[in-house]
Amino acid sequence: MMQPIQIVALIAAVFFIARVLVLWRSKKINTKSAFFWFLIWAGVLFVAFATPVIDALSRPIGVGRGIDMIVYLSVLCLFYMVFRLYTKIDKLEQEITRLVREIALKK
Amino acid sequence: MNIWIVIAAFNEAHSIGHVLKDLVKAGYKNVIVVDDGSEDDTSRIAKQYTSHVLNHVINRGQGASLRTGIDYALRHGADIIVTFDADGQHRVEDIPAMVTPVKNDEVDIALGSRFLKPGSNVPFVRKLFLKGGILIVWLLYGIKLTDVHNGFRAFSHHAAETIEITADRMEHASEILSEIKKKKLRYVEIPVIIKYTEYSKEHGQSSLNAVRIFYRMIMHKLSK
Repeated sequence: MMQPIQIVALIAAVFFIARVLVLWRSKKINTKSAFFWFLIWAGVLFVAFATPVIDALSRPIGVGRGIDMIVYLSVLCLFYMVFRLYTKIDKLEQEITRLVREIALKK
Repeated sequence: MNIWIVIAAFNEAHSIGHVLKDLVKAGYKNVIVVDDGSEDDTSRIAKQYTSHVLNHVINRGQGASLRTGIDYALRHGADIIVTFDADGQHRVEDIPAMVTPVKNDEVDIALGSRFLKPGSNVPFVRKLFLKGGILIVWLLYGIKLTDVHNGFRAFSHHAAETIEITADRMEHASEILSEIKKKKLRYVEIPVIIKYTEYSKEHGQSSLNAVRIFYRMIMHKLSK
């Protein structure tokens, strides 16, 4: 018997995988990022349906419930991504400043 | 000695004229104004007093503007570069005291401090945040100063060339201090008086901004 949350996960995953496929076929995203997003949503399905496996994986590292481990890992990933983004933006800003400076000094 | 004054100005049409007039009257010929993408008459007014007006096509912040002005001064063979505020907070009379130790090669950089002599009517909340900044700079960089976010500085040619300002906005003030430490530059604090007027209070940094500056300081340090 499927839990309501599993139904939600299934619908969301199917919908987004379909979107990824459409975008990939119309060449709006490249194969690499299509594959990346496919993996993400496949992962969501795995977490939703293979609960016993996740639980078994998380217990040895001291986390009671599998889903808790997933949440912890997601938060870590998000933090890392925010930091990566910040670094990139900082670099972009510095490049913009260099451009603006060169223009100011040339005149 | 070839002294150049660098002023970063963003929407300072109200005060830049007075500041430049005082500087010219005191005999400073090499005054650079970096108009940091102002939307008002800053550039037009500045051009009445000096021929060295540089324009940032978009606003990049005070740190970026000072770097632009310093680069320009260095290219023109400046021996000493003084950074000065556009909002009329700094007194032209204080410039000689700032320049002297650099000129005599006693130090590479002179930093203005509003807490070394009475006369600056620093508002209470501002004082609190500045003292906090002093503590943070001490903890992060190991330099103990009496004032950290004072835009009044005098650099030797060597110091201006050596110090790298990569932070575009207000964090540059702390960055300069960390550079002093890292590059082992000789520095001294010189007492100056900061004139807090209604205009400069409105136009300067809001104290709450200090939190944002601190946040960006940390992130900037981490992402380098």
